[in-house]
Amino acid sequence: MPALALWSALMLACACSAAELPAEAAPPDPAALHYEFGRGLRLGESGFTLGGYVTGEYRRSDEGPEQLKSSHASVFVWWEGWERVKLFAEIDLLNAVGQAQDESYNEYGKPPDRRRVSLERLYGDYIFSDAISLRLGKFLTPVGRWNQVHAAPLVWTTSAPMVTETLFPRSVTGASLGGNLPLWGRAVGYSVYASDGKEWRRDQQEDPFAKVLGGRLVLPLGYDLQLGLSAANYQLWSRHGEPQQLRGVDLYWSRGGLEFSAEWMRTRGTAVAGAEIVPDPEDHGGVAPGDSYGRGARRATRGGYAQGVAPLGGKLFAVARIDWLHDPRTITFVRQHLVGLAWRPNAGTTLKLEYVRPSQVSAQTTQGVVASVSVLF
Amino acid sequence: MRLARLARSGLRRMAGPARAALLAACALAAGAACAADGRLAVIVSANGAPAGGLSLDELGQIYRRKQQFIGNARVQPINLPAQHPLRRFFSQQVLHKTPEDLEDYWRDQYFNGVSPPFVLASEEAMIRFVASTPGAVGYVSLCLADKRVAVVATLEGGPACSK
Repeated sequence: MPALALWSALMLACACSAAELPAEAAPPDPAALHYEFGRGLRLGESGFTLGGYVTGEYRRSDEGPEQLKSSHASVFVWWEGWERVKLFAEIDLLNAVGQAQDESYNEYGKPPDRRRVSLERLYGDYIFSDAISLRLGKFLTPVGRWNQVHAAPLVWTTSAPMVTETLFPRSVTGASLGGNLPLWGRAVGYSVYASDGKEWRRDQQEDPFAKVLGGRLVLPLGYDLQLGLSAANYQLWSRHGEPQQLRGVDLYWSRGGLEFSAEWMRTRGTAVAGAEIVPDPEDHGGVAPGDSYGRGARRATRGGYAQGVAPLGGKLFAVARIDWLHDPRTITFVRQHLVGLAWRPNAGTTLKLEYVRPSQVSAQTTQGVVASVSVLF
Repeated sequence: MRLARLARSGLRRMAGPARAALLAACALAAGAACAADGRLAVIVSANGAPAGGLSLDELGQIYRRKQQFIGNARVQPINLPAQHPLRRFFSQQVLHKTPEDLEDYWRDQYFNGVSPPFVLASEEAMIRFVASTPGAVGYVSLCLADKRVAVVATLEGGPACSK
C-alpha cells in the first residue's frame, strides 16, 4: 500500500512536469490574478503573493518498518503593498497524512513527531535602504546556508545533515538588522539578530532560544562561490541557562549544474547545575579520553557536512554527502554517508531517492532508503 | 573592424549554450544580420535616468534583486524571455550565468518572498513598459532605443540589431 501511494505521488509529479507551464511572469495586470507554477499566485496589484509547497516522504529503514507520510504542507504569503514595508508569513502542516512514528521521546528529549500546525515564520521588514532593513517577528535563524533554504523543494536530499537539526533552533523570535553592502563590486550580505526568548507558537519539536545574540556574514568570492560566517551567543530553554557560543563557516559553489556545499559548526558551553550529562558506561566509542560532562565542564558540540551535486542529463542529478556530528548530550560521534538521485523536471517539482548509511543509528539518523516528492506551488 | 573584434570576443566570453542559442537565433532570423556585432542598451524611463548611469556590478545586483533602490526610488528590473538572444547575452555578461543556471537561485529567493524580474515578450514591449514605469530597468538593442527611454549603460558584442 505505501508503495502504491508513493507511485501515485510520482505519477502526479510527472503529470505536473509534463504540462506546458509558463517559465516566467509578465508584469501584473492590475485587475488580474496571476499564477505561475513554482512562483506563486500574485493577487494583481494588491501586493499579496501566495505560495507554498507539499512533500510526501517514504522511508524504509533497514531495521524498522516502512513509513509513508505527507511530511509538509506549507503555505506562505507575503505582502509588498508599500515601497519600504514587507510582511511575510508561513504556516506548515506537518505529518498531515501517514503512518504513526515511534511514540517515545527521543534521546534529545523531543516528543514524538506528530501531526501538528507549525508557525514557521511571521515577520515584518522595514527597508531603510539596500544596506539596512529592520526585521521584527519570527524568522529562520541566520546560521549556515542550509537552514535558510531548508524547504524540501529547495534542497537536494530528503534527509537533512545532522548538524543543521541539532545545534541550534530553526527559528528565532526577535529583531534583526540586515542588508547588502556593496563592497568590491559585490553585495556582501549581513544579518545581526537578537531575541529575549519569547518564542511565538513554540513548536513541540523545537528547543527554542532562551536568549540569543548572533550575526551572519555572506561574502561572495567570485560569481560562483560564496563564503558564509556565522556566530551566536545563546542559551536554550532545555539547558538550564547554560551559556553557549556557536561559530560556523559555510561554503557554496555552483557552476553549470555542478554544486558543492559544506558547513562546519561548533558550539561550546559550560555545564550549569541541572545540565550535567552522565556518560553511558556502555557507550565506549563516544567518550573521548579527558572528556568531562559534569557541572562547570567546558564541552563542545561540533559537526558539519560536505555535499556534491553533479548533473547526469535530463534534469537528473547525482548527489553525495558525508556529514558528521559529535554531541556530548548523546555522547556519541556519528558519521553518515548518503548517495542519491534528484530529478527536477521543472521549476517546482523535485523527486529524490537516496540511501543513507550512518555509523550508528540514533534519533538523528536512519539507515536505509529515503524517497520524497516535493512540489513548490 | 573594431566591432567585429568585439563581436568575436563577446562570443568567446559567452558560455557554450548561450553562444549556441545566439547563433541559432541568428540563423533562424530571416533577413537579419547574423554576426554578433550588436550593442545592447540598458534603458530606464527618459525622465528617471540616474546620474552617472549604472555600472555592470549595479545591474548585476539589481537583476538578482539584491539592490532594490536607485537613490530613493524602488527599482523594477524587466527581462526578455529566457530563450531570447538578447536575454542570454545580458544574463551571461551581467550575471555571469545563463537563465537556466539561475533557476536554483530564484527557487531559493521565492522561498524567502522574492520574485524574479518580470518578463516581457519583445523589445518594443520592453521600451513601452520602461518608458511608462518609474523605476523600471530593461534592455534592448541599442539601435531600437529612442527618445522615450534613456540609455544608462551599453554592452558590446551582443546579437546584431534586427531593425
